[in-house]
Amino acid sequence: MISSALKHLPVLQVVVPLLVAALCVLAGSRFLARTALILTALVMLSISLMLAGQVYPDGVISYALGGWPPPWGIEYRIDMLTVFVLITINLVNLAAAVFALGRNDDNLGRGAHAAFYAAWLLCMAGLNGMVVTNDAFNVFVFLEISSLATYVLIGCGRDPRALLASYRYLVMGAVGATFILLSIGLLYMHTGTLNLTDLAQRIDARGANRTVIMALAFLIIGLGIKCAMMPLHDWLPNAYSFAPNSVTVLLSGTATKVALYVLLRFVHDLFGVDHALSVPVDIVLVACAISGMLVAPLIALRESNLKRMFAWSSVAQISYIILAIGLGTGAGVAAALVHLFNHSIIKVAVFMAVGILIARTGTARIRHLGSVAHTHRFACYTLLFGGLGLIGLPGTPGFVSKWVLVSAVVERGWWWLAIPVLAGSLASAAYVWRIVEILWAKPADIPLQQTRSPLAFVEWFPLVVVMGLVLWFGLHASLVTGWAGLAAAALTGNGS
Amino acid sequence: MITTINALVDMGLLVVLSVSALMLVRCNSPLNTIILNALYSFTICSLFVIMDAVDVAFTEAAVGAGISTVLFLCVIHPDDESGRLFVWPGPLATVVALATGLLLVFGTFDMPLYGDPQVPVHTHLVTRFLEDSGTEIGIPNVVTSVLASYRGYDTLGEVVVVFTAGTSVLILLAAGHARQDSGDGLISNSILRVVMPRIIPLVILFALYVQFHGDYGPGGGFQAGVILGAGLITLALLTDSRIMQGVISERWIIRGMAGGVLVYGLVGVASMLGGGKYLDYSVLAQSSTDGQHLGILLIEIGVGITVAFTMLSLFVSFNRSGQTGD
Repeated sequence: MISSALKHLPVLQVVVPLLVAALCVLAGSRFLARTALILTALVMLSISLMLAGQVYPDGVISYALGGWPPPWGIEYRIDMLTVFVLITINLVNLAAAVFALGRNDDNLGRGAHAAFYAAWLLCMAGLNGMVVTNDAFNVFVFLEISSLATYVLIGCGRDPRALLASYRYLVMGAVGATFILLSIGLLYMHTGTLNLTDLAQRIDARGANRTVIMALAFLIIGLGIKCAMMPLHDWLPNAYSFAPNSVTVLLSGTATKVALYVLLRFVHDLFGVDHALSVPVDIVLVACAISGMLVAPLIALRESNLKRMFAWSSVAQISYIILAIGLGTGAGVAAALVHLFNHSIIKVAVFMAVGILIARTGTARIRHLGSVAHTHRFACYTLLFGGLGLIGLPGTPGFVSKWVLVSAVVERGWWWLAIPVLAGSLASAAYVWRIVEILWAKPADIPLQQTRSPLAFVEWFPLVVVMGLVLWFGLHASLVTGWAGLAAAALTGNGS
Repeated sequence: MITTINALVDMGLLVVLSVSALMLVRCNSPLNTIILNALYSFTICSLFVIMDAVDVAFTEAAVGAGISTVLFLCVIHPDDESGRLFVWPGPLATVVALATGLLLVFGTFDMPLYGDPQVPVHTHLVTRFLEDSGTEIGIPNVVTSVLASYRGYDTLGEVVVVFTAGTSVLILLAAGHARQDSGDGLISNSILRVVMPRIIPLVILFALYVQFHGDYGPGGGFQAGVILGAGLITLALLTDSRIMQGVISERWIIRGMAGGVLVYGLVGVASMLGGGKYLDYSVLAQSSTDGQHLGILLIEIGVGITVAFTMLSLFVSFNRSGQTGD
């Protein structure tokens, strides 16, 4: 029984949250839904770890859904890259789910709690589905599930502007999804297949033409919107700052990261970056990344809202990942993955600390938070250390990311790219220093109506665990870098 | 000769399609927008029929032109004509839109010719679907074979999309208050009072026919669910939903939404317990084609349940929040 269940792990990763979400709605009980959310998050992380245990010794796992062999049926395909991303997002999900049990800052009506947790599970089912699948159309279907659930999760924020932010993201996201669907349709038209491995072979065999180039362009635009690549990032700052705190924590570590993973998979597997059909994909990605690295921290520096400031910092940090993807080399992919993981855990810790601060002080305006570090030490020190990680000081995971990225850049021969990377770090230092100065040294400009309630277990426990991970991976980088190297090898060995 | 006529009809429909899309963009009244939207859907539905994609056409007619028009009409006020919806786009937006359009035109130059039998779409995967689905699955409608079995997992995903949409509306509108009673619905209109009670049972009967005929012709759970939902919504409109509340409570409508997804998902679990892969229906019965028949029957029922109850739930939620908005 157990051993037969182990064969089905790839599909259970997605189907378990999916069916539990339906059960939550069926039961309609807030208590049951909360319990189910935590248990399911635990099960999902365990499945990812077990999959890693299977893939590491045995190599790629292929799971033919419906028993139909690929390319006729839909295939789930697990390799080292897949499990790397799976573990990252399911770890974040577990931490965020526990955090969501605390004061959530949401605006849920009576009877909507069970449905809220169901939407959370549907979002995670969608994201996991996008990661494990090896089928282009299946990516789109699960993208739709996760996107719809994300829109509504954001719209649950207490501030009425959350609805507007959610609606703007819905419009942008729908445009992005349309571009992705068009792209998949064009690829199907050119090759007659939807299986990604088969697609890669048939594009190689049939060569490129204008239809394929258009498909590539639309794909980059669509996924660029979903992962908040610089000129297409417009939805992210408001969505992150008005969403309930736990949802911000969840999204910062999962949604954009999965879009980046899909970008990596499609662009590398199907087209290859450097010689991509004589289209300068690498130049486009690198140019967008540079603009994000330089512009976003400057906007963060002038931002008056603490949560939105860190949202802008996310736009900046995502640009580092896009830069690494744009390099098109194995080292570049590895650097992208290292930062994908490191940024996820740092940002999760930061947004949890921000959530705790906002719940205690009742405000997110930076000016009003003068000297709160003396009353809210734990949250503020977490913010400080997370901020150092975002800058990339030695001893933090951020330093590991920057080190690997700069090495990859130099190896690619584009050493001058190290200049914007370092300039971006300096700009991050400026905005982190600004809030440190205010939180510790500036007197508050208005008396805050602080609630001195002690930290609940569900608030400090996930934060302590994630901070522990941040500290540990800052000093022991070899696990992440080594794994990212293996994952990058899996990717570059697969397609072109 | 026939090809010329076909081409002419195609051209005519495409012109109507483009004109209605342009008018949709320029439209200033919510009511006209909804009507134009329905026109657009109906035109594209006709194009699907010409392409022999009757299943798709059926879905488009039921969902695009049918139920979404009804739901849109539920949420707008008929006399809400204030304000201009249309604004000219800024220069940057115009440039981007034009560039995207040009890129689309650029891409069409290398597209395969319409109807060419030698293109990859017709020679690669489709050959197995067309030639072997009769023996592998054993039902005449290849579209249903692909949708429900070869790519049955995608269809599960699509049902979950519908379910997610229904759940989202529930969450966002949960703050609405209990519905105020606002009179007698449309029952006071004597024509409707005479005609509708005779039509609604036929609509529901037709929904059941479509549900179970999907193996043989155009039809299946999506279309049947929409038709059933539309029938029940008509009933609710006619009687100011009080009869509906007597028949089924809101709580059970929501449970129905989740129930359909569970039926579909549990068929997959059953096939895992039977020793197959997820959603491998062959292991559900003695012979593999019997298993496929059974599996497809069950999942189509799941699809129908979720779609019908989601439509109903959307209608009830919108209707309630529309009432309190006054």
